[in-house]
Amino acid sequence: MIHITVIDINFIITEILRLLPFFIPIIIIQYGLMIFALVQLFKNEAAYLPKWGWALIIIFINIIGPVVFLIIGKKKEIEND
Amino acid sequence: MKSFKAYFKKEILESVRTNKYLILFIGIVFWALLDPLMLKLLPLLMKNYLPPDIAVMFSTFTRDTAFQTFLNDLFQIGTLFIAFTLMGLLSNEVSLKKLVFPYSRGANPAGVVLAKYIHYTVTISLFILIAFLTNYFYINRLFTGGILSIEIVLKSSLLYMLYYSVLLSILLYLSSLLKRGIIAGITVLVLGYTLSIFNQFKVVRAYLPNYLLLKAADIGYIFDNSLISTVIISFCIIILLVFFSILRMKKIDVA
Amino acid sequence: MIKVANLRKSYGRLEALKSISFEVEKGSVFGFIGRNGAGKTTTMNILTGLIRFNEGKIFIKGKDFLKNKQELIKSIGYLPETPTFYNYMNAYEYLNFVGEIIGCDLKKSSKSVGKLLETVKLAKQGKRRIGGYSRGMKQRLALAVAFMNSPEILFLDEPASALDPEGRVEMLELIEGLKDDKITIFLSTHILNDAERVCDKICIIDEGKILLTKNLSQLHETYIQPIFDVEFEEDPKNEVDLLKKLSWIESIKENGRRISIYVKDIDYAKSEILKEISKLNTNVTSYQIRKSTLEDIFMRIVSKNEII
Ligand SMILES: Nc1ncnc2c1ncn2[C@@H]1O[C@H](COP(=O)(O)OP(=O)(O)OP(=O)(O)O)[C@@H](O)[C@H]1O
Ligand SMILES: [Mg+2]
Repeated sequence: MIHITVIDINFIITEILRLLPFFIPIIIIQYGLMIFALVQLFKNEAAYLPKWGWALIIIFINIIGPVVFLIIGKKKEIEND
Repeated sequence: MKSFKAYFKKEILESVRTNKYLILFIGIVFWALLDPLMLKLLPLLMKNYLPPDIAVMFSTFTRDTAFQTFLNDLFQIGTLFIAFTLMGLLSNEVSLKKLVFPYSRGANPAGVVLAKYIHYTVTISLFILIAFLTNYFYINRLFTGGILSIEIVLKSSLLYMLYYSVLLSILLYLSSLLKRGIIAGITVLVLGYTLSIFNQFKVVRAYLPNYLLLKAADIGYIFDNSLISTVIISFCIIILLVFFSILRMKKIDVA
Repeated sequence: MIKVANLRKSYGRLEALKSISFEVEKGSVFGFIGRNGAGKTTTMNILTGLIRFNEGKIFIKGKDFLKNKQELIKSIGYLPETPTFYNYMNAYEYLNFVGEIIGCDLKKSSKSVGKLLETVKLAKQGKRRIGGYSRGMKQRLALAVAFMNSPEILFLDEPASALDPEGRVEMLELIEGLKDDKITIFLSTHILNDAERVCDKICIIDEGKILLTKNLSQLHETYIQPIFDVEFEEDPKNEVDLLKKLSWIESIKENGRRISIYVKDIDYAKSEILKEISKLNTNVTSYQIRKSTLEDIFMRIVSKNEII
């Protein structure tokens, strides 16, 4: 049933190449955020989870992982005293 | 006014140091970039795996429908980000006793509340504007067809700004009322999502803020007379809730 | 300067303050002492306008506090029990922030911010985030905040609780210095030696009731009664009960081999006490007559309150 013709592949590849520049900002934001969150994790105490747990979340859950860490994972900001 | 200025600056510093700007920016602007690309890419990759009728549906995306998809996603994800980033707006200040010094040195609750509300309304509105413009830019490069224009995009963004201003005033008030911010956050989320259901009922929808979202996606007819009551009601909600928040912060025990 | 009449405050069903009244004179140091949970912090939070109360009248500088809160609060500085700051700020930023709320001239305030930090010995750490401060450092910073804009009335809630010994002495000297500047100080503390050193007036509060308000000198006169400290070679155990039966002895505090005897009639006691002790079945290693300190007075008054 599934047949990919040569033309199809060529078409897809050229399309993807055309779209590539549009991905650059997304990739920058994604990896920038990931690295930023990892640096923050490294510099601060982590709350709720051990550091390696947060590291996994930050690396493997795109965007949401780092954001969740930045909102609730940093201990210093939520401390009571 | 002194308290307003002091707290406005404080909110800026806080948003920078606790990454609130970053999170809000991602939560609002990122989808403006990702959404159109995904719409474009998915059918391309899936072309040969999808049943023909769905494939047709995907390939018929015009600039208009791509924009509408973005609006919908922004509402669903953006609301989530805003609610969870700002849920502690006032409740954290009170429950963590951060207001002891400011209040003991004569801070004016009205200044504090207004500074917070205006700061985050301006921030979110600015991010919405950026998101809409980038989305428009992306859509123009990736899709064809439709009548989408910069004017439409700007009008639509205005309605989104107003909607989030309303939502923020609800969050502000709940956050002044409740001890735990998370409850305020979840309430606002549930409220935001469920009010959208009323958009199916012609009789009531114009009186609820979520009608703003419906009209924002109504390309070509964004500003029409049906919006007048919605806009008036939205402003009334904002003014009332900000006022109630101020009253509440005047009376509340901060120690 | 401060006048409080029939002040009542309850937290739900718990009555934290049961109609208290007192007065603080201008330029004096008012020592507010009491056990944990007596209601000291509650009173101070009310007098600084941070929490509401149920009943009563408060006058500050002769004006009704509730009606003139915004105006009166400008002349008040408060050092709370556990100060909280915005942890992401550093000390300079926080003081500037408070300065802006008060409305001090900002240029003047940034100059005096440096000076303030020097006064509280935080100048070196002033650029570090407050989130990383120790408890004592936070207390010093809190003192700086309380001092901003030179208030006429200072509320200090256990100001030395987190300070090192050196800091404690400095705090006392500071308070003595402020007294010379005619600043009214409302001080709560658990360190009664300190209170005795700096306070003009002592107010003892227990379970939300004021047991006594007196000038320190008056207090010593009324409670001048000396205390007889006796130390035995061995734990006297039941022997002490024999002493307790004597009508001229008010009470006896036992502490292992040592006992402290409080008496009703000093002169009679002086002549009789040694005779009575010699009748006991144990050897005495030391015997001493001591003037009662604030600590003794406090213990007596508060423990009496317990009996009632
Ligand atoms: N926010 C509150 N909610 C309920 N009860 C409270 C609250 N704050 C204080 N209390 C109660 O009021 C009473 C007086 O408390 P307060 O803090 O004034 O004591 P304190 O004299 O300052 O004690 P300490 O020496 O331990 O500081 C206590 O019984 C306490 O449990
Ligand atoms: Mg206390």
